[in-house]
Formats: sequence, C-alpha cells, structure tokens
Amino acid sequence: MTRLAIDPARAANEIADFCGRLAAGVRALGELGATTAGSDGASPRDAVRRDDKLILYRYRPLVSRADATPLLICYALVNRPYMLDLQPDRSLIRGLLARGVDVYLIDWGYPDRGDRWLELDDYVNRYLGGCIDHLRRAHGVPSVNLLGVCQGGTLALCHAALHPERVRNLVTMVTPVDFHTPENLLAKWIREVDVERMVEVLGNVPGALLNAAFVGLMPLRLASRKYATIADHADDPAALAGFLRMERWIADSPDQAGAAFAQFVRGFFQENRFVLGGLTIGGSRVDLQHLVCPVLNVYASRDHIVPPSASRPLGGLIGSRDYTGFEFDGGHIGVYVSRRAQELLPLTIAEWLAPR
Amino acid sequence: MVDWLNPDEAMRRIIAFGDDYLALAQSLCGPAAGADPSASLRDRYERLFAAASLPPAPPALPLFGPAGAQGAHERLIAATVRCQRAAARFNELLATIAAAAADKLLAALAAPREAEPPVTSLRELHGLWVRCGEEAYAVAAHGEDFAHAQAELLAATVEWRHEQQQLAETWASALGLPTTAELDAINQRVHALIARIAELERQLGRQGTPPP
Repeated sequence: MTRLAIDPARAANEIADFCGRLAAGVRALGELGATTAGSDGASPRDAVRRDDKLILYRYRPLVSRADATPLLICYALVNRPYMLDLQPDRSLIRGLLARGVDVYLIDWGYPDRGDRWLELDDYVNRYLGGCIDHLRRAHGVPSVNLLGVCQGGTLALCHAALHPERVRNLVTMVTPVDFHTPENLLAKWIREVDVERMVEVLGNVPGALLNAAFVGLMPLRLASRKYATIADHADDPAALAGFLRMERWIADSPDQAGAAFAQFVRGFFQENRFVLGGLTIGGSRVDLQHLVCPVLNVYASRDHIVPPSASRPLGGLIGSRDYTGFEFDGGHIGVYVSRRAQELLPLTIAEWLAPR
Repeated sequence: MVDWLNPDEAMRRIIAFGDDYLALAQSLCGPAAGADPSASLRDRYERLFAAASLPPAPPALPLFGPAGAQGAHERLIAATVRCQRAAARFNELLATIAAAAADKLLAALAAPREAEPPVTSLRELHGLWVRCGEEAYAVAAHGEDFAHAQAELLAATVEWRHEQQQLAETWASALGLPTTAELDAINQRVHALIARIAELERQLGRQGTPPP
C-alpha cells in the first residue's frame, strides 16, 4: 500500500477551495499594491551625503543615542538596502535605533552605463572610505563602527583590512569569506564563467541575470511553492502586504557596475583571495591579518546563498584577537526579516558593541 | 547530419535549401486553397532550419573582396547556432532532472504508510513534489556537467549578443549615431580623470594644502 491516500471528492473540494482563496488573495494584492509598493524603508531618515549615485542616510533616533561612535551599514551591491528596514515590525535598523545605536546606511543607488568602469577600488576606498571620513569628521571620532551585510560585508572586510585605523568595531552579517566550500553553489556555477568577456560585451551586468541565478539555486521553492502562499494569506492583509514588499525587494536588483563585478567574481568567487591571499584593491594588498579591530560575525545556519561554511572561517583569517561568531537559526533572508531575528539580532549587535 | 565535405551531398543539400526557400517565399505570397497556412509555414521553417544540427563546419575560406562584409552575418549565424546547441544541452539536463525528480516522487509515495504518514491532500502532494524536485535538482546542480552547461549557455548568449551589437554598431556608425563602444570609451576617460583628480587631492592633502 502506498502513502498516496487522496480521496477524489476531497481533492475536488481542495482544488475549488484553493482556486477561491487564490482569487481572493490576488484581488487583495491588487488592492494593496498601490499602498505597499514604492517604499524605500519604514523608518524616518535624512540624506547627509551624496557622492555620484551614492546616498548616505542617517536615521532619526527612537531613543537617546547611547554611544558617540556611529554605526555605518554597508549593504551589498546586488540588492537594495531597504530589506534592513522593510516594515516597522520587520526592521533590523529600527531594532538598533530602539537600543540607542546611531545608525547610518549607504544606499549605492542604481549603476548605469556611466558607472561601467567603477572598480572595487571605487567602492571600497572612494565611496565607503568617503562615508567613513564624513562620519569621522561629523562626529569628531577617529574611527567608526562598521556593519557589512552579505557582499557589503566582504567590501567592509576589505576596507577594514586596508584602513584598520578607521574601523573601531566590525560586524559582518551573512558575509562570504571562503568562497570555495562545497556547499557554495553560486561559486561552483560562476567558476567556469569568463567574467571579463561577459563584462566586455555586456558592460554592466544586468540585475535580472543575477536574480535568475539566485532563483536558480532553489527553483521549485522560489518560483512555485512560494506563490501558493498567496492563497494561504488571502484574508490576512498584513501578511499579503509583507509578501508584496518582499517580492518587490527580490525583483529590485540593480545592474552591477561591470569592472567592479568582474573584479569581485575573479578575486573572490574564482580565486578565493581572502583565503589564498594575493588580493589587491587600488594597488594595495588586502590582508585580513591586518584587520585587528573586534569582529562580530553573524551567519545563518540555513543560508542557501552564503552557506555558513563560507562565513565561519573568518575568525581564523583575521588578525583580531577579539572575534565572536554568532550562528542564527534561519536563512539568508530570515536573518533580516524573521520574527525571531527582530528580537535577537539588534539585541546581540547592540550588546556586543556596547562595551567596545 | 549533412556531410559538407562530400560535394554531391553538399550540392543536394544546397539545392534542397533553395527549393525550401522558394517554397517558403511562395507560402508567404499566398498558400494554396484549402491548405493550413500556419502548418505549411511551420513545416517549411523546420525544414529550412534543420541545417542547425550541422556537424562541425569544414575550415572556412578566408573572406576576401566583396565577401568580407558578410563575415559579420556569418559570425552572427554561427553564434546563433552555438546558442541553440547550448540551450538544447541545458534543456537536456533539465529534462534529466525532471525525470530524476519523478523517480524520487514515485519512490517517496511507494514508501509504506507505517514508515511515512499518508499523503491525503493535493497540497501535501505538491509539497512532496517540490521536495523531491529540489533534491534531484540539488544533486545535478552541484555537478560539473550542470556548471559547464550553464557556463556554455551564458558564454554562447554573450557571444550572440556581441555579434548583434557589432552589426548594430556598424549601422549606428553609418547613420552618424553614437555607438556603445564610443560611449564606453568616453565613460572610461571620465573614470580615469576622476581617479586622477582623487590622487591629486590625496597628494595635496599630504602636503597640507586643502583640496580646492
């Protein structure tokens, strides 16, 4: 006897019920669309610096600020940073503000053809360095706290290794460090790609192409099962609004500045230079042994984009003696937006920063 | 497969191609009464492009004289064929994965009810299908064949786009329009100038002179 025990009459009812709920969900999504789309984050903030397409934002405090040293968040280039402030009850930034952290965020903008020649040197030294220098001047401090997210963590590591005097504490979140671990499917795929030729022809690398690669990591879950949840949330406008925001964020992938993309892929995905050494940015050697500030490394146990095995080795590669690894039980997106993360991560980060 | 090195066969193929092309043109001018125009067109197209499954081409003559201009079109056709081959190979792998996923699903459903809970709803069946599909996909996606086929598909698409771009640039240039290559060159100069200015500002900063 097999496990299949579907009663035909019940199946017919299930289909009818699912179709009805799906239709109701789609109707509700249509009504929500205009009010939900278009937000770049939930928390009030002010633009304090512009550099080409980059905008540096400072978030308005929710409580009195506890520390004179600001926290600068360096997000990835491949997605938009409002994931960190998606909605009031799902916001890492809001959680940090509620604990008195003075939060700044870099919005890299959307590169266009004029940015095709931007290199990692521009992102790591000119843009990120410019923001750090701005904060050092504005706050009268020699160094800032830096929080790098995903690819932004890799950029933050590069900066902190090149300019250790400018970074007081470094937090990395779901940040790849060892790109050649067996679970790293993206790295396996891209290792055979002639990225320089690709960039030579395409100029900037389309965000849609990267999105397709991300969906390709788990295509049935991400392109099929996920959408069935519309029917589950048909009568829950808050859940549908969250679904819409998430969908918008997922599809909102900026094109990648060609030269920087090629250098990133070559240096990290293909040549694993953090681990094997030999990385240079702007003519200077990047050696993680030069990174001596305290480091908090947050990674997710079920991350399918940056497997924990890609993040964990950081502690053994840096020169700092003050290293804390923190494994979050969740996935790459859950680390920002899951309910448990809202409580746990801002608290963990704020408490880790406080005595340092 | 056509053996292009065999003159008789090559000639027959060329004549057949000519006949097909002529028939296609006639179809486009107006199908015979009672004929299904779309079926006729489809059939003609399929016969016409059956040559896409060519064996490796014999060494090509270098293009010279007036034939030189057709090189760009030939390269575009070759890139198109490469794309089709790469897509076919990738689809073949996807079909293999789908078959493996179906096998997994059947095996999962065949498990005795005492070992696994029964599947009593379509939703559960869909969930099981997704799980089996992801498992089969993960095995294949981590393999070298998959990475190689995907990289070849990307590379072939990039080259196809390159050849199209080359033709477009020829036309743009002929019409006095700026080309992508020209814009890229200008942007590259601007980027180099910005880097140079930044370096000069750093040097001024080191000398204690505030940058302008």
